[in-house]
Amino acid sequence: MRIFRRQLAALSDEELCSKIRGDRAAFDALYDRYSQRLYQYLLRMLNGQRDRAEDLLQEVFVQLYERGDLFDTERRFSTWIFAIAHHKVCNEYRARAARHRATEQWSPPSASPPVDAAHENAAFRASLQQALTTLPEDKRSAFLLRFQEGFSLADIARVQDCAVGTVKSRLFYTCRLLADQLRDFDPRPYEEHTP
Amino acid sequence: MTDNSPVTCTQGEDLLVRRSASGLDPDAAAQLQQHLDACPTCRRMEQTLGSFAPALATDERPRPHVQAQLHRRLKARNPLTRLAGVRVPAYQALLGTAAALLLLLGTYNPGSQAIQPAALAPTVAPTATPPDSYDVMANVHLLRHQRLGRVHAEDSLLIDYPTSVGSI
Repeated sequence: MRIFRRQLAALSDEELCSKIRGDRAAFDALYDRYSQRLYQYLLRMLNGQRDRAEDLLQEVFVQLYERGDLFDTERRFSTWIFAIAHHKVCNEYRARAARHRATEQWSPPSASPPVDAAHENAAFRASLQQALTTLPEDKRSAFLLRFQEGFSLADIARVQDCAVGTVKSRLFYTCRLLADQLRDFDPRPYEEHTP
Repeated sequence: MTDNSPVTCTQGEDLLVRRSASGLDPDAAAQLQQHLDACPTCRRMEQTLGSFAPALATDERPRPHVQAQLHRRLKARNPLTRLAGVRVPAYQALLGTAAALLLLLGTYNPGSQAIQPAALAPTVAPTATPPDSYDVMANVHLLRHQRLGRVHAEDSLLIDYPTSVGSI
């Protein structure tokens, strides 16, 4: 069993995706690789609603299990699964009343206190979270995919099913807005971060 | 940014945002760097923009019960069973078994070898002659006339039958 797990760890995401229908271990391996990243994306897109983010995370993986055969192996798996998550979030937004969207407040999960001890950085982080809640979902999603997931512009365009120029425009607008809103903060340089 | 004129703070902020969002070509990046070296305000904005990615990094992860719940959902939707060492969905195993049984029953017919073409031929040939009871009534009337002492040819009896019946 250990050897089998080691073999799974050596497989690419795309190879694992082709095996998930008949192999629960392959499915679990993909869950281990992507659940945290997807959860963080969903959590921020849903303003910190942990239960709802976990529900949507499950729905993403259910769809992966049932529709995994539709995955085009020419594409990158990460782009594909984030596109599923993005569509789930868009459906969630559509289901909600638009008037409630802008008034929702960021509610950080109690179980995860800021890991950075520096007060200024913690304040900057909280303000950034709060500022993100005021953004439209397409701009917020583009921002998170760029700065949280480190996606390229082309990959973001594939996730959002739009042109690269549209992604550039969204990111420029969002960065400009957030930089202006957070101008008063003086965050200390963080340790090296690789999304 | 194609000329070599100094970059203003407004231009510098635009370049900073563009660099952060989508990157800059080398010439523009060099001009921006030249401006940043001399402008503390824009350096502070650079620091703010550079803090986005680290500020988003967290160790938040879904709670452990989520994966177990996911397994239960998948099992309820599509239960797996093990067939000859291969895991296949239960409904596929049932359908396959049913199809195999139908195929087996369809090809198996124990009486098919005993039936010969000759045996299928009818054993009783159809009768070509009609039954000879069609003239029974005529014979009855003829006999009644004979009992009464009348002698008739069969043809005349048939011709005279309506009047003779009334006279009897």
